[in-house]
Amino acid sequence: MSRIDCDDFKKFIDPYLDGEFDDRERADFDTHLAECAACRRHYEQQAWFLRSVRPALQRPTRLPPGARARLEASLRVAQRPARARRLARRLMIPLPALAVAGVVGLGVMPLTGFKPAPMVDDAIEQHCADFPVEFPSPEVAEVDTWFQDKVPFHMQAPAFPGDKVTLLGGRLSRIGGGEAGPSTRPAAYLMYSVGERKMTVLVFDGSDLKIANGEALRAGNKQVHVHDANGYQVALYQRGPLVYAVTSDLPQRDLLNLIGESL
Amino acid sequence: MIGRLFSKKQDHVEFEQVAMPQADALYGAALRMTRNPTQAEDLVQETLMRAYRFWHRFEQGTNIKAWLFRIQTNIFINRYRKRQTEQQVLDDRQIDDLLHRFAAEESTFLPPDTRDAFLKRVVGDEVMQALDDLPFEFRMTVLLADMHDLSYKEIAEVLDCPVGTVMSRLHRARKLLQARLFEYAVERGVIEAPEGVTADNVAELDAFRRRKKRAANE
Ligand SMILES: [Zn+2]
Repeated sequence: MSRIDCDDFKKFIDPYLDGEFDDRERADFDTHLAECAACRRHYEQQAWFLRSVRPALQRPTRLPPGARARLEASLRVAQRPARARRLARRLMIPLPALAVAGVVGLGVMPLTGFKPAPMVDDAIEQHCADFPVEFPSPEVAEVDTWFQDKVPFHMQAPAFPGDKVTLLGGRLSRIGGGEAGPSTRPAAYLMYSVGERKMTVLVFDGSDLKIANGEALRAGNKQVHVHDANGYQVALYQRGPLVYAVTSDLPQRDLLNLIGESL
Repeated sequence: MIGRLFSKKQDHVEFEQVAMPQADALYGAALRMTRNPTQAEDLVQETLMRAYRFWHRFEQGTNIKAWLFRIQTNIFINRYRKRQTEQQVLDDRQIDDLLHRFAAEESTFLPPDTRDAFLKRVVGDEVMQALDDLPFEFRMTVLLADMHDLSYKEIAEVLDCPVGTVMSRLHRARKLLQARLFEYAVERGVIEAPEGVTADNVAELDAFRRRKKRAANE
């Protein structure tokens, strides 16, 4: 006996046509198709439509030769050793603009008007603490590699396009809390400069977590939960199993733009 | 140090062999995204350069197209889409009208004896035109599913949305595409307008709405 009706059949005709169903689901649809003339007609029409239209959609397009030549030239340039290392060394001078003075201690003060979210508190505390980086590098790939055998997850440092944001480096850290309690988990701590300001990112395995607190906002393709606490914005988002906690005193719009563009 | 240089070189060779052959496909997609050849070239350039920088993140054995499309979509959304003057896309009202006119399955049923004419006179550049008229999310879903044969799961990863969303978008997008092509078919006399709703009716409806809007503004 068939477990689906005509409405189901029409509603899910696309995954059926596209071969998205597993054997069992498929069998249900096959059965209905065999039993129902109306759905058979509908199915045949839809299949015919896709068969006819797809070749027109799949007509090959060629990248114009000029564009291809430019692309190949850019690749040759990119292959040269990066000058970025020198830049990194220059940037390793502690950031005076971050005038620790106004900031110190704030992280441990009770954050008024702010629902206690241990991870967020911890992120701000670490942001303010101004820890030195253990591994200075402006290259995301190098930092990822450095973390490889130090954290129990596959590290992917966020990369920001353009030259607004510079990666300064990373250090091994932990992040506390979570809804579960005071336990802490290993985290990768990354420091970036955004013009004169500082931005820190804590990356950790959050495959067991569901980020729900804070203001839910979109940043480009990402769903971000933003906490606003005493002049700091902490934006949390998930990417696969990893959670990213981005902390800075940038205006919220700028922060969201940066996160939206990040890879 | 030597090892590192060597692996850099290996990476480069691998990138040339695996990613670069996708340049044409990326350009085809970029054309549909930007609907502007110059912007499409820039978009492909930026996509492949970024892919090169992050080549270490590509997981061998996974779909290279999906990975590259994801980068390209990200760049497009963040960079180009903002400053793009959205030209000639169906607005919500037009979409509703279209779906409404061709809602009943009978209205998009092509009698077998009209199929040849439909293929000859409607299915050509019009398909691309119809695709370009779709709103961005719909256009992308059709592009990834029907132009590039990505699975729903891969599409979900490219567009960063749940698989269920891919399914419902694809359903609506194909319906819209079909409705749009049927409009062409009606215009060209391949088939008759679906019963009850003629082109005149729609024109009347438009006029009625304009009158109503004017009245509301006064
Ligand atoms: Zn049925």
